[in-house]
Amino acid sequence: MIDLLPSEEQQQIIDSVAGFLEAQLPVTRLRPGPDGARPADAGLTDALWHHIASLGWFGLGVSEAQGGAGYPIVVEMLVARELGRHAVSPSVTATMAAAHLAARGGETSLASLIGGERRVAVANRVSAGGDEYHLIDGRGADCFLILEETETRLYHASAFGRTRPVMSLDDAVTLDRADLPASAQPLLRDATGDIAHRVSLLNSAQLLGVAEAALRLAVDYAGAREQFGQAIGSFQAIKHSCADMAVRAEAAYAQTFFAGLSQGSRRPDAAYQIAAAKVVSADAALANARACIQIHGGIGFTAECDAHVFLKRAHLLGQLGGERRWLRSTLLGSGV
Amino acid sequence: MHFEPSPGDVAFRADVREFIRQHLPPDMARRSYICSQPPDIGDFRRWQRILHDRGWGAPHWPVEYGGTGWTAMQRHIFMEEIFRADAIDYGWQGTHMIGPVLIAFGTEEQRRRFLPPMLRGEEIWCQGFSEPNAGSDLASLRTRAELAGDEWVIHGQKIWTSDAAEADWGFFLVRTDPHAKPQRGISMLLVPMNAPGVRVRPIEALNGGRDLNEVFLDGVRVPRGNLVGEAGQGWTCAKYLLEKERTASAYLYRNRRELEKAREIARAETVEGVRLIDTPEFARRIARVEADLLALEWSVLRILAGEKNLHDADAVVSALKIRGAEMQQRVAALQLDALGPRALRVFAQGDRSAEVIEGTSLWPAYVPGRLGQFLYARAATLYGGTREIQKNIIARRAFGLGSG
Ligand SMILES: Cc1cc2nc3c(=O)[nH]c(=O)nc-3n(C[C@H](O)[C@H](O)[C@H](O)COP(=O)(O)OP(=O)(O)OC[C@H]3O[C@@H](n4cnc5c(N)ncnc54)[C@H](O)[C@@H]3O)c2cc1C
Repeated sequence: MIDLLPSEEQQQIIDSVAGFLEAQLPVTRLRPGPDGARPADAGLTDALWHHIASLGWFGLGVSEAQGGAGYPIVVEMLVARELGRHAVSPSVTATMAAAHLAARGGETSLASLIGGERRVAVANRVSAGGDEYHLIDGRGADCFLILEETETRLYHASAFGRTRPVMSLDDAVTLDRADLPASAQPLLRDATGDIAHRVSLLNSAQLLGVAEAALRLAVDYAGAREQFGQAIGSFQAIKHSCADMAVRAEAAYAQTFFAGLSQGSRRPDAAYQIAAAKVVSADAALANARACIQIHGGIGFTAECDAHVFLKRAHLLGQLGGERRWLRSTLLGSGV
Repeated sequence: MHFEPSPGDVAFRADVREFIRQHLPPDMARRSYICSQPPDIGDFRRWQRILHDRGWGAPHWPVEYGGTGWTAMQRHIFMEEIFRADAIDYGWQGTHMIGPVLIAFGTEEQRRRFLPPMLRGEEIWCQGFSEPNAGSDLASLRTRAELAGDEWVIHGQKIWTSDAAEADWGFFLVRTDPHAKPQRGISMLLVPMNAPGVRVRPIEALNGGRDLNEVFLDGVRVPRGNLVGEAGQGWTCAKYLLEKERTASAYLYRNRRELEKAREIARAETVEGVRLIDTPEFARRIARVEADLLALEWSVLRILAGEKNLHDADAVVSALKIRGAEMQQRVAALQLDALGPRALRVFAQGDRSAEVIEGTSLWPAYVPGRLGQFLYARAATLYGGTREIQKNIIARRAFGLGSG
């Protein structure tokens, strides 16, 4: 049997990460203020970025010889899961992944990534074959990480031209359109699939966090809100909806962490397990976010309730790092 | 069952289509193509006036109040043509809700006062039912009204009141008899939204929309004659009205139009050189929704035609509401999947820039409205009674199961 539960040491890491995020970046930070505005950077200030660096998150999986903590990928995933729960910028996991890319290339930039002096954000191609990209939380980023199928590339921010702001569906991140000329040279690239797998696993772990947070929020509300003189959680429709959410979260947990272990132990079917984790966790996050809104009733449809944060984050992360269409072909190609 | 269009129906369709072609302002159609839900209030007023001038302001009303006397098939054809042309879906709270209630329960004086401006699109209405602690359990509502001489004095709070900020009038459910059984103590009052003591606070929706509101009623006074029906008859009026709402809430025509847009996107978007619509997976998903849409269409036609059903009418209407609402969500998800990674970006609801209205090669005009619809569709299983409440109604009315 394999053990998917965190070890004691891992549990300590989870607790400290969760405690830190709950104190510094609770989901409630994303609520509109009295003037309707949300906090700049979704609360992830430069100071907080440096604080996170000082906690060692960006080098968690990098070997100790190269200045990291030398933990296996599952530990990075446990952190990513908490980040997902709190809808923290995907730049954090992008920087974690970029550190691995730099470590492989023996890059001098590694120290500045781990140390928090360099910030990496995600760039996502708008449409196949085109030059236009979406930069996610890219303002102030030094580099951009692009994941396409099994290839990962890191570009200097200056490689992108004609940057112009647009509205993001997930309003907890900023979004810019920018062009990346075909001639632009990446700083680093990896075509072995190793980094791509890491990025995908970190995304899946964040999606798992989203699915779990939506479940938590829904269960809390179901216990608190009363209609017809009783908690709505006492109605079977609501009870079962919560149970369905738990079933989806459990499936996402099992598949995502099994995929993480299979990457760590270099199982021959790791690519397949990782693609499956992305599909299962993305579906769980979306479905749970929807159910969470439904359980909240009218209030769930507002910006004042946190449920929408999870719907939007599920949608954002689901689109990153490999289209679902490609994931399906991975599943079909190597699994059967 | 006889649903074949007659030669007369075919000519009728041509008539309607021609009228819309001549009278629907193209800029309005464009806006509604991009984002039809909720419609722009200014566009709604203009279009309602245009329809009214043709005598089509409220086709479903009795002829003596401005209806058309059309057959079920004609009403069906009319709605198909409205949505096919991206015209505006007509007044929900007005001609769909309070209009029929006034016709059924109102005084002749109320009908004369309120129906004509409603038909002309001059007076906008809002529906004040839900309260912070009375949503699904509407009968527990606490906003109260007392007679003081010739006036009702209203105290309380409503929430989720769509369009309250734009509305000229609201119909409110209030408790007039605190000692009667909950349902019996409720009455319906017509309140001018500019009356002293009415305060409206907008609530930001998850799509950034601002059409939901809280409405505070603080010693608001309205004449005694603003009561609809009799005191204590509010619940009956509300039930009548919600039934009317749900028949239309199959969203049949909207769903059909949005599914057509999903096809349009899938014809234009390619994956590795293959049109999305030519990929087996996507074609199959579209076909699956289409099959359910056909079934919904027959169900709606049966209701329009006043056919007998296997089950209690309330149960059937709730079934349509569930189907229609879930289909909105399914079609929106289909559209989003077809857009692929473009769908990280949303467009402001009121964005009228050339990029949005005309579209570009990378951002065709089918993109901008879709994400807004994806978010808005979450409300479809909530408003007008949640999906869970509809299921309770089906179980109880069709099978006598449970009391909920
Ligand atoms: C976009 C939008 C527009 C609206 N417009 C209007 C308007 O114009 N006027 C107006 O008056 N109202 C309006 N509403 C309000 C709407 O009718 C209510 O939101 C709805 O009735 C649910 O009430 P609630 O929000 O209080 O949720 P609650 O009643 O608190 O429900 C919370 C959850 O519990 C479930 N639940 C409750 N009771 C039961 C039960 N017995 N069995 C099983 N499950 C149960 C519900 O299904 C839901 O999932 C609007 C709502 C939305 C989202």
